[in-house]
Amino acid sequence: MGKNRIFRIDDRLIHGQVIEGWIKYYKIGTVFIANDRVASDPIQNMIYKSIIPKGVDLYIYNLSEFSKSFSKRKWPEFLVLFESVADLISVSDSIDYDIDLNVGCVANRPHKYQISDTVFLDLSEIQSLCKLREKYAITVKKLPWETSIEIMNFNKLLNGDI
Amino acid sequence: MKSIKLFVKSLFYNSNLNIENMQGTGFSWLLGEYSKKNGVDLNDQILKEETSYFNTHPFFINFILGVWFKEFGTMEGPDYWKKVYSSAFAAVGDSVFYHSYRVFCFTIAALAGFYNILLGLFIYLALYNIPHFYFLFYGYDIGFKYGKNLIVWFNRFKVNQWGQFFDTISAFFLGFFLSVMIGVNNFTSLWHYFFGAVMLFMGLSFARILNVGIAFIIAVIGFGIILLLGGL
Repeated sequence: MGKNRIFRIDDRLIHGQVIEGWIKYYKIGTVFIANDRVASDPIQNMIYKSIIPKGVDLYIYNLSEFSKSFSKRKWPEFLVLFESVADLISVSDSIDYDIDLNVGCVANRPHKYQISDTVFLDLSEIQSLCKLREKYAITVKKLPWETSIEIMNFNKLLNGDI
Repeated sequence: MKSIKLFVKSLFYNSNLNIENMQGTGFSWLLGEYSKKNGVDLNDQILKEETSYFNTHPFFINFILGVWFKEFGTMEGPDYWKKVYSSAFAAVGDSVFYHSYRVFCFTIAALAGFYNILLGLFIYLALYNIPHFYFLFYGYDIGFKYGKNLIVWFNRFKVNQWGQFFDTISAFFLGFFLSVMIGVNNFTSLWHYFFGAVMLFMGLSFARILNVGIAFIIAVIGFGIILLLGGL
């Protein structure tokens, strides 16, 4: 499991925990944002490029561009940020066993269940992640040194099967 | 006078921090306060919607409020930029203020504390809060002036380099501080320098999992206790 090759779901994209907790902790030099809205907005592009620490390369793609062009072989270590579970699922072809999947921060909204203190998911998101979890390891934690929450059987639990 | 009142109120906006909506309640409350100042009529529905999830570094809140009012009524609406700037400022604020600037203030204050403990305390509070209070006091006006282009104002000061800048200065002053401690206590054997280096190394190692501020404090206090007990 490559701990410095990470796909992370974080609806705030780049913020304090991402910089101090992930980029600096794993000494990651390449960060991607895979998001349609950010990629199409020059001001958001400028904002994220202005706050990323010096020495870290930031690349911003929309989801289809990312899916086509991303090649993990080009990068010794990387952090890819997705805004939502749906965004991650849409590029699931890019996932392999060498990449850590992390759910870090998904805000509370109506009809969402609390998974951790920073992750709130609805039933369809839980089901999508559980399906992905059958093939790949997924951690649910906001910072690298925290203990992950296991989500393997969450969908069964919510359906009352357990 | 109104500005001073709003500045004081913005000091308290973070007090309802919770995991459900983080600082959303505080944001909505400040929005109501600023709407009175601006003569903008925000109905209860808007204020209720604004209690939704919101989280940023508290020193930057007034910048976001300024942007919010500037973009209120535009096609994109203020909430889009509220979300963008909240995460951007959380990144800058946590990195600079919590991880770098606090350590810088501590090392300067610790040096001053050799001459007078109260002076050290005063210098820490003053140094740390000068940018904090400046941001809270002028943040709204700057945010309102620039609106969604607020990042242009911050880019004038290369915000992404502040953390590295203060880390470098702090490292120098920490070394200087440890040297002064050794000199003041007249402990100058090789063992003391070695122990000082070990303490610093431990502190920096802890910094990887804790935070730099706590790590430096652990290193310095540990080393200080050894000196207080009479050395090795």
